[in-house]
Amino acid sequence: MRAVVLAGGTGGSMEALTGPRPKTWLRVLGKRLVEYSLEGLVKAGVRNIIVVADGDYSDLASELTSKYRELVDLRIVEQKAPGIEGALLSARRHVGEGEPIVLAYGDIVAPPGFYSSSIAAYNASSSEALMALTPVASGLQTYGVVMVEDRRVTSIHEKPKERVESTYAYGGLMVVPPTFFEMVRDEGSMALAMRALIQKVDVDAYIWSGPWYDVDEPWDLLRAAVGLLDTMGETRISSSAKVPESVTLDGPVIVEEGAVLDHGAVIKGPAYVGRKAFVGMNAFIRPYTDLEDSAIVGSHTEVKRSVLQPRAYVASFCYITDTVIGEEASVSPYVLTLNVVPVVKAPPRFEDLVLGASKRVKLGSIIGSRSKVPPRAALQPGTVVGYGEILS
Amino acid sequence: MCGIIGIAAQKGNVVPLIIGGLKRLEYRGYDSAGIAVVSGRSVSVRKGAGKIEHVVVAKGFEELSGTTGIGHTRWATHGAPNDANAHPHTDCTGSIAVVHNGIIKNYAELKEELAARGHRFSSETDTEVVAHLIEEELRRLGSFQQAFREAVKRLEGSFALAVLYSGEPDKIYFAKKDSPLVVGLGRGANFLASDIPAFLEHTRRVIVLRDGEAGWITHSDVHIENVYTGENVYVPGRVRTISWSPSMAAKGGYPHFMLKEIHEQPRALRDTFYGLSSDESLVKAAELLASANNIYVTAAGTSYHAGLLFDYYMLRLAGRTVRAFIASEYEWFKDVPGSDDVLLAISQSGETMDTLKAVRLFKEHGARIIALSNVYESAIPRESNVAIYTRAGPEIGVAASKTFLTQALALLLLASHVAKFSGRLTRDEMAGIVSAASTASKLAQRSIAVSEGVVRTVAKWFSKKGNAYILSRGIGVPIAMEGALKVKEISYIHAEAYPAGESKHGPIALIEPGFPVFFLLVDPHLKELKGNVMEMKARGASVIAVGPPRSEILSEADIHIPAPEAQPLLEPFTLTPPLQLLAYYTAVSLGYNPDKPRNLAKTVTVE
Repeated sequence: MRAVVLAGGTGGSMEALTGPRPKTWLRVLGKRLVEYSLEGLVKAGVRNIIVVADGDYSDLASELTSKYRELVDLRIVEQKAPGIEGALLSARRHVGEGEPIVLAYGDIVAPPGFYSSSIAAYNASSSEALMALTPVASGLQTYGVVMVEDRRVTSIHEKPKERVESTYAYGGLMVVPPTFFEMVRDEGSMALAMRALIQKVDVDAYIWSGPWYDVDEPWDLLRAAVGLLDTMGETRISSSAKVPESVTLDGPVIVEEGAVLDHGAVIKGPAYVGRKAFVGMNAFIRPYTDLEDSAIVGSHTEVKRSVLQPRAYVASFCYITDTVIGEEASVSPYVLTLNVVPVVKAPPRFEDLVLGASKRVKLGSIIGSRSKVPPRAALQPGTVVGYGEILS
Repeated sequence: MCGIIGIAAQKGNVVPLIIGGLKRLEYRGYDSAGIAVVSGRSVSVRKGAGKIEHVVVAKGFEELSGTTGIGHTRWATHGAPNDANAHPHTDCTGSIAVVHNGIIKNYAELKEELAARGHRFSSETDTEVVAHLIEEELRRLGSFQQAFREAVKRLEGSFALAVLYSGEPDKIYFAKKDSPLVVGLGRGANFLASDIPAFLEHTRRVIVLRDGEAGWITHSDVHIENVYTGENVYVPGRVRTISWSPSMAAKGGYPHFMLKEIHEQPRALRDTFYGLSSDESLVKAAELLASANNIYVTAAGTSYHAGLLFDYYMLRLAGRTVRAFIASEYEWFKDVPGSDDVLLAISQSGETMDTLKAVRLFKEHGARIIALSNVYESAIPRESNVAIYTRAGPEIGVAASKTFLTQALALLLLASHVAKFSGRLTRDEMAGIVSAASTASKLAQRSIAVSEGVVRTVAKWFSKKGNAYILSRGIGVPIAMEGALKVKEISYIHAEAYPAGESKHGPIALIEPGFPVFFLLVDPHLKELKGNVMEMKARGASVIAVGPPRSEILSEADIHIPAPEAQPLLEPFTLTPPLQLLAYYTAVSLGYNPDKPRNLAKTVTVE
């Protein structure tokens, strides 16, 4: 089987973190977003993958081709026109005739089982197409909401403004007949093409009830990290990591190669410490923290439920919680992120983090890549520091 | 649901392979089994009632041998599970053998027509008419392929068929409509089966057939055409490779049977509705109940909760009081039953020992017995005056899901018939209820769709709790009890259901901050329920409202699990699925296997 992975999409609300790069370049638990779909597809037996990318993707292209060369016939092509439609049409001439095609969004974080079971369900059905769906609790207005009857898709409502009688979000994974490209061309938009597909052929619904996160805006990175950490379960310390006896590790923690934990650091899992990351003396890493490669947490700093992208730097004596910090961002000493907001002000997908608690949601800041936060700043909940911005 | 299989091999003996395939299809039904192979100028058949392992030995399946054969494992719907009704069925000449999964709706007309032409039938099944119909067409047309095609065109209803004909000993003919059928492409052998697990150990290359497709297989060839349009299907374009393991294939890609069965409820409800709408037994049972002096209902576990729904339906629709009791308590009633009394016994398996004991006690006193079961001609139906059946199909998950809602539907229909007989409902009112009941399937479908996303998240939160109350009023109480039973059975969290008005008479003493209390929002009782919600809130409980959006309650609730709007009689179909899903996702969150709860067995045949 062949697959097309849509890995383009820059700017928008993700720009603070991505700058000119595609958002699928961002990392969660040691992997780029696009790698979650690539790994899933490879494990599902797909041997031919076309990745469509845009923006500043040359680094991405060389990194992915060298990493996956052995496993799969991988080609990276440039997106020639905007939107998902543009991406699909850019992939079209690279896709063979006659065979069904797997269409995967590169910004979905899900375990490989999502891909293998969806594709297996397609192979065990008589239908010409299949859509993977997942039940979601909140923020339905931000997804494509799908109606199902007898395991068949009956309709799809893109970002519905009104209540739709379904909690199934389109999972960003479809198996389509090759004629789908013509439908995209003729209908002019992905949403209309999907509607046309549902009208023309039987589309099976595969309901995936495992972990699944669509990274659409910066907060989704936090949801994805928290969700994956929640199901992690294991503790794994690389033999090349430096973990002195005075360090306390409690609960499931992964510490990758070359990471350095200084004396007295306390890591409460579930937590992830990436390659060559550094955690300073007496720093306190609390549950649901994801430190990507070469991220630095200074001494005496406390970090809770946050994602630090590669080479993000947080100096000493900071309090960072419910926050995403971009690549090479620099946070000076004594910075506080305030984090309690009324639930009504929370992003629509955040409800599932607060169920059963009070009517408040915890939300820190988005600190953009290559930005600088000055000493002693107290960032209000929901603050967004732009890409390369230098706060005064 | 039944399972069929066919294997055409180049050489060797396919009988052991067919038996192996039947064992793998046993989850589709298991009350009788049979096989047929071509030998010489006729087909040889071995078949009988009982579990496959037993029938294979008792009927000497392994004495047969051949390169081409078919097999069947049965889950009875027309005709009792006995030797005569077991498949394969043959025509008058013994040269055509048929196995079938599905229901031939027009079999009675066909049977009458064929009998008039002199065909002699040896079973009560709908399937046997197919063999005779092909025989009749063959006599007329001369070509078997044409005869088969014409016969299939005359069938109404649902069918997956595999047919053996001694005149073409290397071929197996097949046809499919509304029942599953899959072709498997092997080396030196091709396969046909109701489901993929049957031949997965031999080949992973399959063609999943679509409705209206028919054709034949030999060991080396496959022909597929659309029987209604006559168009040939381009076979290579349809071949797919299965990556499922046999157990994943049996679960249809769901992680557990329980989730599959929860999602099967709309279909089970539809099948049950259509099954009962043409069932004379339902009318007979209603007549018995309408003329009864006292009405008792007995059951255990989930079936008891369905019995409590019947209690509600009978009171509301027929104005009759019903005494429902838990079967193991039958001794209480040892001097009670009179010969004018009727006992309704509800048991999914029809084998529940406590329920059977209660049935026998009432019989000794001359009371008449009505059975409601999911298994045709099982012990309790056999000991009853009238038996009615749900069409949920086999349920593999130990905790009942689809059987509960199909029981609820059968009992709603039964109560409305009683109401008509006793003059409480006019013909039109009764028709109104039947037409409402026909929407049960849609309501369950919508209920699953609108709640599953929310429930999955709520379950993560709920899995950290040790106790819960599930409260409601009126028809909501039995639903709450069923929900609490599911939560206990598979998520091992202590859950208790009781009428919400009871809180202040005792149970509210347990409430402390964060104690989860679920409220099922049943429309006629919203005002009272609001008071019950407030008294729980005042003590710090976490209130979860389950039901359609009702602002007066939602403003007080911490969490809302949505369900569709429904009229009160149909609320079991909208409020039960969220609770089943809650129990399921909570169990999964806690790392338990919901299909195999500890300490429990599917059928309780001990006292």
